[in-house]
Amino acid sequence: MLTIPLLHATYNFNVKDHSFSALAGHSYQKIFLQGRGWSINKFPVGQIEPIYNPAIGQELTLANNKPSGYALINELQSFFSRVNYSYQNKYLATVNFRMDGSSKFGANNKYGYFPSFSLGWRITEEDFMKNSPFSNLKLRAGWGQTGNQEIPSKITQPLFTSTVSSTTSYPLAATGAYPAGTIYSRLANPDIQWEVSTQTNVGLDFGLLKGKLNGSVDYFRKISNNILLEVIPADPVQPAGTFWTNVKDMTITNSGLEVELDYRSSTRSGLKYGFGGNVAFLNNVVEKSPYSVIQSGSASGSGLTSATINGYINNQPIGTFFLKEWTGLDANGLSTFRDVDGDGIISDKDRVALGTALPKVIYAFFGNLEYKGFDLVVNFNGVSGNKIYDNTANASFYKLKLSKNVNTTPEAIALAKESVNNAAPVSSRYLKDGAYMRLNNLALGYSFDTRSKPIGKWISGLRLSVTGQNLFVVTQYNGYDPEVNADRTINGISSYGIDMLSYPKARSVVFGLNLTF
Amino acid sequence: MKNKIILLLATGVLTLTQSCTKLKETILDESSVTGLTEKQIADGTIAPVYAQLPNIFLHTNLFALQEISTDEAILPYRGGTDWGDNGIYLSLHRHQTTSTDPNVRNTWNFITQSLSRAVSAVSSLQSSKDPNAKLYIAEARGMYAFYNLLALDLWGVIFVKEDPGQVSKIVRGTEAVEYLKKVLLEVEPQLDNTTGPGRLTKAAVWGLLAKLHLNAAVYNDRYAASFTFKPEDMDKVVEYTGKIISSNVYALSPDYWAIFNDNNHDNKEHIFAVDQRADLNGHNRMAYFSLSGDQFPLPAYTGANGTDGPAITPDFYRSWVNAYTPTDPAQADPRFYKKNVVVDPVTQEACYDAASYRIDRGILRGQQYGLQRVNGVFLKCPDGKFKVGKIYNVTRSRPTTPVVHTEQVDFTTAGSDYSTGFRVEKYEFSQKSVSGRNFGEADISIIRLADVYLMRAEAKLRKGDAAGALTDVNAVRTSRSATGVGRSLSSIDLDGLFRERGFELYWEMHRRTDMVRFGKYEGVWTEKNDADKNKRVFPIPQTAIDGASNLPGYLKQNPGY
Repeated sequence: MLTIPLLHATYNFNVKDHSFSALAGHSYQKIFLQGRGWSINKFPVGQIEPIYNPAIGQELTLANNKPSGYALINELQSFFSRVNYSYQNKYLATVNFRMDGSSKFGANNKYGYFPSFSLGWRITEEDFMKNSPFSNLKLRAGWGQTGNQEIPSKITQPLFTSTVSSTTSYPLAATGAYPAGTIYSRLANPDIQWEVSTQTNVGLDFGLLKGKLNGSVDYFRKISNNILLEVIPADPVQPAGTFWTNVKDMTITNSGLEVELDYRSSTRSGLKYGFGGNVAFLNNVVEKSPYSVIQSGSASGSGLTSATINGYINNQPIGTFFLKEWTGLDANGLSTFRDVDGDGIISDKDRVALGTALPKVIYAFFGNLEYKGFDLVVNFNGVSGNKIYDNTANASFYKLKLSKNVNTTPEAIALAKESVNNAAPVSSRYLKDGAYMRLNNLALGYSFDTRSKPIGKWISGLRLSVTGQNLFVVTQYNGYDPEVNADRTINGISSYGIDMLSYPKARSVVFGLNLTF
Repeated sequence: MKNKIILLLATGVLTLTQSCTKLKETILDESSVTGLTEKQIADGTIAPVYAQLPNIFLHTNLFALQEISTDEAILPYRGGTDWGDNGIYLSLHRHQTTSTDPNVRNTWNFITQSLSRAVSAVSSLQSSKDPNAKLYIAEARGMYAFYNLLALDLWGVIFVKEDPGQVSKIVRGTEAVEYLKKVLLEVEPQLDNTTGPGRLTKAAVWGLLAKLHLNAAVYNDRYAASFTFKPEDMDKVVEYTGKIISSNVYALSPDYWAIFNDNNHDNKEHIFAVDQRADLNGHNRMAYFSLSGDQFPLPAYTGANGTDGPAITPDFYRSWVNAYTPTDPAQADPRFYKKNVVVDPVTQEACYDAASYRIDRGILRGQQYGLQRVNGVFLKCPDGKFKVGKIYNVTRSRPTTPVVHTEQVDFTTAGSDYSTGFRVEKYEFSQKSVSGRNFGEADISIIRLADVYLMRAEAKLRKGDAAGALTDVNAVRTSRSATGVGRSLSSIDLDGLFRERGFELYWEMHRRTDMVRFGKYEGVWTEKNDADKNKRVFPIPQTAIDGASNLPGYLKQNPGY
């Protein structure tokens, strides 16, 4: 449940060439989440759908069907004000100030203060641009701060519970009731506060060829600090294995260049056409982390569960794969790895940063045509510069696993000299290039001109179309689909680029007939 | 105009100060405990200190680390479907365990969490007015030493943390040994001797002190080419084991198997044990782990079976055969095997009452017999009793392959089949275990009297008193009068004593420690030829190393990992 009362007041006035508008407001959000769980087991196979009569389930005991539930309230309160100013509609300036408060943070740190400024210059409004080829030219620049409060609720408050359970209680006497054991379930971090991102951006909008060609170029740079992460305490002797904190000094910088172009035109013969696209070049880097690695994605599969796949590493992007580098097989057909530190032992000290799950380039382009009732639309999209960890192959399709079984995959048996007893630990062997280009959408349609025909009395529109989605993907990735993100989150930190039994995208072709009466 | 702007901003500020909410976090679904009595608080503080013992003494945790790494147990990738776990059990046996091994991490986590609970208990019980508070403080501090002793043995480190607010000091080697001695000696006078075996008693601390002195040579100089057992340490072992033996509170069990039965809590052999209760914390993993997946030991539960986990290595089996040849070990030593299921030699079948039916115990060889499960129910004889006969690999979809445990077990495809290897059923399969995994009843031994006698024998032997050592070894060998008296030995040396510890204490989570102390851990046995001394301790889990990387030099990985 989400409640959002919003109050604000605006005021506009103009003096000659100066135009002002000011706004001040207050917003309040209350998020109430709750859930309950019950279970009933052992439904007989029969005609009755269990949903219509849960009582036919044969097992309903408190031990095996323990009810569960949770409820939480988060509140967000913001005060904000904004002043817009423009001079002759040529020079534009905006000043924002917000104060955001969240119930998730400690009493001393509930509020974050986030100013921002932006400036704009409509160059085409200038006299000297009157005969220029530009139909539109605008320069923009801005600076601002925003806050992030994405942590679980109740982090500022400790929880100690007293329960009789197998992990908290113990018999203190030969007979009698078991004592309820009191333990810390959560350590409080009363000082946890807003993560702050400071963004600077510069952009240029332009229109050329009498508005046929439009586009924009944007550069941005966002630096986040006071990063909110769940980390493992240095001292292993702790009541709880992890705690949430603002990682001191650490910054994450995300910068990039975005270009967008769009061309539309038509000919006298009635051919209308357009094409365009956008591309973003991205760069991400973690700096001044006090840790060698803060894990963000863990492997799954039996025997693999405590291995890191990716994490936050200094001078690398987030989602960086941190793995032992597989170098092939030895004479016995067992895997070998690069001994990075040269100590003669292959261990986790030999893990290296081997690329990231974040693409360096994201792009999309499109085209459309319309001619005498025919219309054609095509859309491509893709990414490059990223890697994918094929956890599916690592956990299920390795030679040792398949050798004593009946199934196989070409990848598992690709190396004839690999021993059937070769273990498959997490390593770069299963790290693959994640670049792809997808024909996302292709649609061809024809609209009959019914109005000019006698039938137009009854049918005002008739259209035939065929639409294909995900028609092909160009990629070197040999898993199901390069667009993956199985959530392998550990410690509440998002994971990226790990393929674990991801369901592939469907390919569909839809034939349509539209009739309008 | 200007006035209006100011007015507007002023309204803004006014709203700021009159916040509509204080943003105080409302907690709806949990509450921290309040309103407990002094006794409830004291009991509730000491119980969690012990509570993770069943999880530490678990088949995949301490058991795997202490046994599968040795010649006593091997766990192949059964049939290509079971216990594969990406090769972690193969690596463990070959001494190629890495710092990301999940079982090493889980054991570490349970031990460090228990340490933390012990430190918190010592601190919070200081202000308690409960009459038991003083005893509980001594127990919590003693358990702090016990968990640290486990960490010292497994990873070569202890955590010195005298106060919950302090960051643990990581200590290794002699300093660690001396610190643990000091703590154990401090708590010993405060402890009771009537609260065992499930809780830490005076005698349990004597046992821990004996263990600490016996292994001090190893703990002081872990990677030594050969260990130097100081006479004064051996004297301490003799002193502390002597205190236990002469207390006359404990007795060697005439029935060897009774030590491991469901109702073993009152068996006088136990000095310190994990107190398991079926209705609270008990697991049946010790009995379940090695047993065939087609062995259903309980007439009451058709879902309770084994799992075809580890077997003993042929090398360990040969140590029994070589000791007693030409007599079969089952005839020669009451600790090797106990036959419970007797079938007709011709029909290979028998009929049993539900109440009196028990499966065989000890080391299981050859064709296995058991209840006949067909379509989810057990077959019965015409007289209504339960039918018992040869069992087959039905649950493995090989209904015509009988469950025949062979001596050969290794990592080849043939040696990794479901039934390969001789199995161990030392603990009784809990009569209450509905799933075969849960509801364990038997206490799991940590220190028992036979171990105490054998520790004293070893200390005497290391000091050159072979006659005294022989007396202690034979005291144990001849004590099992209810299950067939074992033969006395006429002489004893260190190899003989090591073998004797294997015969008496097999699969009781001592083997790795014993092999290291007797200099045999770098030896060669089935599927194992690694001779790296660095493997005498396990790697510190990578999660802990990475977690501590913000304090450079604080938690260093062990050499060789």
